[in-house]
Amino acid sequence: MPAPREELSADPLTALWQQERFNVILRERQKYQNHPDGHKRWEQAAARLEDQMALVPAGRATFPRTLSGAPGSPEIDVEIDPFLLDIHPVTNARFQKFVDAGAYENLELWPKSIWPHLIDLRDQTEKPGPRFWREGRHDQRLANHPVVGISWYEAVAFAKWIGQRLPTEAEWQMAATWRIKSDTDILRRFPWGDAMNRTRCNIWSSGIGTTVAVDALREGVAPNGVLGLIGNVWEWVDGDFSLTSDEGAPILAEMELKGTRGGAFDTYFENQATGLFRTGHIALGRLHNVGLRCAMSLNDASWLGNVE
Amino acid sequence: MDSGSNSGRLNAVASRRADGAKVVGIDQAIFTCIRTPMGQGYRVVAASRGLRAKESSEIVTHAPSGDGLCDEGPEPVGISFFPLQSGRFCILHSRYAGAEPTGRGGQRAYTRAFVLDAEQLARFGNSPFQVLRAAYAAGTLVADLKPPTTLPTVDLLPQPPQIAMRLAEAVHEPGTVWLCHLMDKLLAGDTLIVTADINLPRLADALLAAIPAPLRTTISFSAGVRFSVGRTYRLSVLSGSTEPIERLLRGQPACVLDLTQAEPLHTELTHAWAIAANRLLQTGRAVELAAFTAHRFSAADAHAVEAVGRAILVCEDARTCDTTGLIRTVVARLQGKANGPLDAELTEELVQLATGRLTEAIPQARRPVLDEAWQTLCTLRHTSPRIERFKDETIRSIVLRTSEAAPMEAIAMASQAVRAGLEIIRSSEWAALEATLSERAGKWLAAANAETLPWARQVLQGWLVHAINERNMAEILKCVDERVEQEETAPTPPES
Amino acid sequence: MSTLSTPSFLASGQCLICDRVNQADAVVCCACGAPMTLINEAIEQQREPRIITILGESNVGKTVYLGFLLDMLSKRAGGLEAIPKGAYSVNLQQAVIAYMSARQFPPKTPLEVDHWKWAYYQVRRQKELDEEWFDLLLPDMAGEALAEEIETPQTYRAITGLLSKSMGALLLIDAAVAASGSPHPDYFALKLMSYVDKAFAIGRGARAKNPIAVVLCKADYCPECFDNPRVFAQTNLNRLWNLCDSRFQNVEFFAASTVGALGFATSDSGQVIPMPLHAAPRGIMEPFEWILGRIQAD
Repeated sequence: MPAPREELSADPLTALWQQERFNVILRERQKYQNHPDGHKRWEQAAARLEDQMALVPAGRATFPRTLSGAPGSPEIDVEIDPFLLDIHPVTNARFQKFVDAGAYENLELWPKSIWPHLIDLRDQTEKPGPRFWREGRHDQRLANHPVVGISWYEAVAFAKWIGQRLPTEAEWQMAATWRIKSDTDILRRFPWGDAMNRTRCNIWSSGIGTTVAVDALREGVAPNGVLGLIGNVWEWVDGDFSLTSDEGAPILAEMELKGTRGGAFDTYFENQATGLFRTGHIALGRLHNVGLRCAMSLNDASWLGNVE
Repeated sequence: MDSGSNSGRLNAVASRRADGAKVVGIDQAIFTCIRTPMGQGYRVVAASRGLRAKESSEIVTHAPSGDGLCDEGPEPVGISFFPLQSGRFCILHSRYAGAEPTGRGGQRAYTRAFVLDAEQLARFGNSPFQVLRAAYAAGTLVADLKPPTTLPTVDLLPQPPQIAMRLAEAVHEPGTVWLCHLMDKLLAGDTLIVTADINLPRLADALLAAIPAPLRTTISFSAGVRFSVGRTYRLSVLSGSTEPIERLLRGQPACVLDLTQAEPLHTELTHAWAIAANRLLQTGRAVELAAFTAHRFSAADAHAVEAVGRAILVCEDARTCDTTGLIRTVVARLQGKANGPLDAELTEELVQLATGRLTEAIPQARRPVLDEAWQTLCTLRHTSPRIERFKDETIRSIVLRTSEAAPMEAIAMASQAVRAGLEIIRSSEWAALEATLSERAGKWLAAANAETLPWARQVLQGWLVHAINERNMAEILKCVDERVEQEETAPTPPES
Repeated sequence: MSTLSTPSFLASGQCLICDRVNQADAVVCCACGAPMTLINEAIEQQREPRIITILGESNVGKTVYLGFLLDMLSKRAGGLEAIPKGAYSVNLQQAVIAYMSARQFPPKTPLEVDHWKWAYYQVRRQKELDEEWFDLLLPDMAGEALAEEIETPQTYRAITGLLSKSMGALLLIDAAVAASGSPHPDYFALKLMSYVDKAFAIGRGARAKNPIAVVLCKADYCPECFDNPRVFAQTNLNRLWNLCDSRFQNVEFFAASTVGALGFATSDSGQVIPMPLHAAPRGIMEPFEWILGRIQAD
């Protein structure tokens, strides 16, 4: 059942609002300061972002450098500044606006190196869009499911288009393990605690077998309200996959790998669906179980204080 | 230009070394895991043209695959040897050649197979290890991971196996007792599975070396290759615990031995060859055993080898037994039928030994010993010049010794001997003997009395029939007659 | 010790696979190398197990596929539940899961039959109103042994026996290699199916009835496999497709993958080692469920 097409307003600000590019509205405040709805839209956009995103406090993330992550193997410690993270992964409905906006033809959104491959970023009917869509439309029944079948480049382009970015690997891990700066320096393996609970997330052993709506499993919530970090879909993060073998040899793939985190509905091993597990996918791969979630630095969220 | 014939001539020249030794062209194959356009995984990736499809298939079932060697040393090697259904023999040399190319952990096994017929194998002393030594010398045991699909036959230069050296090493490791015990089991026809923590191929090499050459081709074996029930060998030499093997082999006839356990008793040996080998090695005579293994046997089976083993033991026993026993042993062997050239040769050796021994022993022997020896010799029929010679020499010694105390009895013995073998009496030794006997008989005569003189006459008359130098004896006889006459004419002393 | 009598389908000590009568206390069959424990299990169950063979070339992924399948069955996937018959049956799934969860591929299956892992499970299938129990035997064969048996039949008596008694087969093909344009997977599958054709033959000229699921493995490399496996096979495995069409009544095509992403590291010796970055089994149960359904239907 294809999702209906939404007519975009001819008014650019309204169109941005319809496209839910809230941070763009906020960034381009100057541009629309004389627009009759300018102030209202700015306040509305800030409020929507407030609803959509959650603050992740300053913290730390420690990564193993090796694939095995065996005890005693080298690690990297990263300090993380506070940032904002989407409460939910990006849904099909949200991504539809990106497709409908002709973003696949908008070369400004794409790095030059990927231009020759843009022609391959097609759906089942050879229309621009995620791999499993048809005629450029998502299945309306899956509107609130995370978008899948998108490459890392599409994820980056989408985030850019809405005025945000992908979380770094450290940010994502910090959000999922909630290792906030404190004297105790405690981390948890899952957003909800230290033990896997397959009813709080959608992995293979949950028995669902496909994606669920992004807000379906509310018990898997992180302390700051972020949902679905574990399971449902892997989430692209900003950064190369950079693990090595135990001997220190870099792990490469036939094509460029980018980091993904969190596990998906078909993640079989519970130890691979934790806040700490590092893996990656081919950057140009458009898999059925990889989606995205956007983030934003506090520097980009000047509106935050104003809203408060 | 007839390049073909030129090349043929060149090949012919090349196949002969400067010293005239002729190389043997052997079929070969490579079994390993490499990716080629025809596929991947373990398979025969290259072979010479002479290798048949069925032979190739048999190589696949015998060659080890990844991590398939059981020796955990730095450069483990596995050796297998088995007859092919085609009638030829196959020798596998397996080693590791890097990690599994599939990246699925473990080591890649690389096996070079050599396929040769019985005649070719015989040129290497029937020793698969000797073939491998030649292959090593020819540089063919190096792993080639990009071989052409078709390999040439490999030209190997046969050298006789250095059996004595192998045996000398075996005395050191695994030790004579274990070596002979294992050999005993093998010769008894057992399927033998041995675990040890020593160099496994070397152990198999030593075992094979200790077995007579004709029998070596009947001992299929694998050494250092992971055990599999599907690969049946007469001998499997492995490392590690015997427990899993025993469990797998439950219900199947096989003898499993752990060489890390205490040595068995040598008295447990049952096969004569193993007992003989044990005796030779225990007394530091590896070279002798090596020489025995190289002999031609009447048949390539354990029975023929057992007979030879018995012969060796007899010879060994004869070295230490008493004079009577020695004569009895020699007589028994001489009367039996030789079981092949080695058996005959051993008898010859025994006779030689006995002759020497008796030459020394009889001059000191006492009368009962001489009598018994005499009786034994009398049962020996003349069936060959060898027997005759032995009998001749031994009898001469006995007669001589006897003649020291009882010359007339010695002459009686000589007569009896002569009756049994007229030809020998003509020999020069007998002539000398006769002279000695005559001399001693003359002295004896001086002490003879009326009771012994008639008997002496009878003996001398009997001797005269066969004597070489009738004159001597005739003179003595004349003396006897005179003495008898004197005794008869002498006045009878008055009765008291 | 079991006091049960030998079921009618087996003579005492008779190998379930090759029919050779072994000594009562034998651990493996002296003729084919199959574990005799299977017989003891069958005797205890008093019913002949359904044998399903997993066929395919070396390194195609038979072991990993089978390991995941068994593990999923033990986790009651797809309305099926499998209970291992004896600890030895668990070894295969345990090894695969242990290696894959540690981001390594399990070691290659050795060529020697007595070193194969055999899985004997009691399977419960939930039906609409009741449930059905049956025994299932799934051996993990070495692809090389299979290749040799195809070239020289009767080399591996275990394979000959297994196929002759098999109620169905899963034929695994490396879809990634096939998609790359290599004719090799097609030729290998062609040879293999010719061999299977003889084993499953029911009469001269008749098409074999035993269900065969052709599983296009490593389909994560060519996602179009998942979109339409039949079309993929028809395009990339045309010779196999034609043979199946002519000679087999019950063939279906499936796509499967087990690895979510694959990385490679180069060892100190220069060897490239593939590493499963994470597991994402897909399409594992479907071919198996289809076969069971077809066996039931027939």
